[in-house]
Amino acid sequence: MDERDKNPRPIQSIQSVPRGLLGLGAAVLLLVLSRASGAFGTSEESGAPPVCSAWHRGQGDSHPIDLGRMNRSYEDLKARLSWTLQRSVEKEMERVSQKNYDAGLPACRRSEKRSFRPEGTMPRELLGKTLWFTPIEGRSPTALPALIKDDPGAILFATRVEKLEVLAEASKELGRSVTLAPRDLAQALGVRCGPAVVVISKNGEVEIRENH
Amino acid sequence: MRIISIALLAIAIGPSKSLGAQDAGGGVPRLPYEGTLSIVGTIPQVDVSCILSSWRILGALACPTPLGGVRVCLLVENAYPTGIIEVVRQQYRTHYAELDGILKAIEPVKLFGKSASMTARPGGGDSLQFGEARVYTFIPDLGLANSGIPLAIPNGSFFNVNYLSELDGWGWRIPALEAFVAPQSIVARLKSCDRLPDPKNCAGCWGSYWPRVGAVEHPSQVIGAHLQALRAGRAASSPMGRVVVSPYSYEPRTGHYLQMLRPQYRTCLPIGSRRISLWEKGAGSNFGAYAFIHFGVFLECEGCLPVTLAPERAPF
Repeated sequence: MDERDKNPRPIQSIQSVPRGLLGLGAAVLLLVLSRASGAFGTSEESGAPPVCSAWHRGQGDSHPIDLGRMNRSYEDLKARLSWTLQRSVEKEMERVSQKNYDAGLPACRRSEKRSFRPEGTMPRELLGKTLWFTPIEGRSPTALPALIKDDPGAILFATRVEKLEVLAEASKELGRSVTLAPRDLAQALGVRCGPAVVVISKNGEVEIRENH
Repeated sequence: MRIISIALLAIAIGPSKSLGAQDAGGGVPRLPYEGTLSIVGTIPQVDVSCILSSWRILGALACPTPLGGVRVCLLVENAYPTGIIEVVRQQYRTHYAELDGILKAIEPVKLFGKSASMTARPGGGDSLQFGEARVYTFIPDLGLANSGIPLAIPNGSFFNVNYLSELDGWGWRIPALEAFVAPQSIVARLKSCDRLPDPKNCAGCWGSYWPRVGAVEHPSQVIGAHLQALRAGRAASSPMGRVVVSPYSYEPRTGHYLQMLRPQYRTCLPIGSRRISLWEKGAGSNFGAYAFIHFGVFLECEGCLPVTLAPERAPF
């Protein structure tokens, strides 16, 4: 048995070294080439992109960008957009507080008094009640009619207000709660014009006094 | 030692204030939910997945153009936020900081009839609950218009106040008043929602849209609040004798969507869906205060059919 037969492993290892070096060299070359051509990964992964100010054929002019400045611009845009939206909400609030209301009851030209029983089932909450339908003009509310003044349980309906805030002011000044008249309630009760006092009896009979 | 004891006793029996409550300035303590939301701050809370998951192509339409040609478009359907509806048990209180001023301005107007103090009694043996409700138009720009997907986005202002139940004190409290003023509502009210709920008049298994008042009898406070919100939305969209600030253009319909914002954040849910039993768990409010975003479902075929509110459908 010669020397080669006794130690076969080291001989194989010595033979494979040049092949291994060749493979390693090829891998390094491939990596360098791929980096150069941008096949693997992007420059973003390794950090901030290099600023490019060159002209590229077919892609128009390029501009250097400042990511920090862009971020600040977006923040500024966000703040301005929020401000604009907030301002539009505030304007809407102003519009609502200045909004008028009209239940569609025309103003009376003459006085009239009549009694009848309206069609439909009268809500029991209205039975035995006295209602006053009146427009509230300007800031000072109209003086209470005697029928309403004498009845602390009378219900005061504003058929027209210049702005919603007036409602609260009128309630304070009259010492009674004044609410907006539901649309068509006066008409359903048979009222043709305002101001009008409506006396509803416990059995649903209605007495209307217009312009009294 | 004695002085210290007296001082401690004075502190113990002195006027106490709950931790969550703060003084609003007028001697009225603020409730924990008041001012916790803002209109602009609601935009990021919109469940965008509701819009995207409801998007579907219904088909293609062809229509003539003014120049004599033919235009072919894709008929699409999707949900989009159109309103905010809040239901609160306390008069003149709101989640929205911006609304506080308006409600305070009308506060001297005393309201007739029911108030929450009369209802929702713990251990009261009944399931009656009452809440005030407000409806606001809310159409946010979510940046989806230029997304490349043909979406049906309604045209409308970002924010409008439509309905404040405090201004409609009578209509919101007396069921018989609506029947008296608008007799056409009686027919709708006669239909039962128990067995085969009609999608026109019933919000699925949640209950009936009628009467459009703040008092609801429901064993679940959460479902009851959903129903109150829908009733307010319906009253605002079709006033029929009711006092509205401006009509709400997007009637809440069965199969469209509601998303709860308060007291708990939830994703959107089709109106009338039985899945509400999952949504309501842990969503009860100690103050009966709820805020929702309403999503209408819209149809559009660009160039042929303008953005249109879709009809009601069976909830899933």
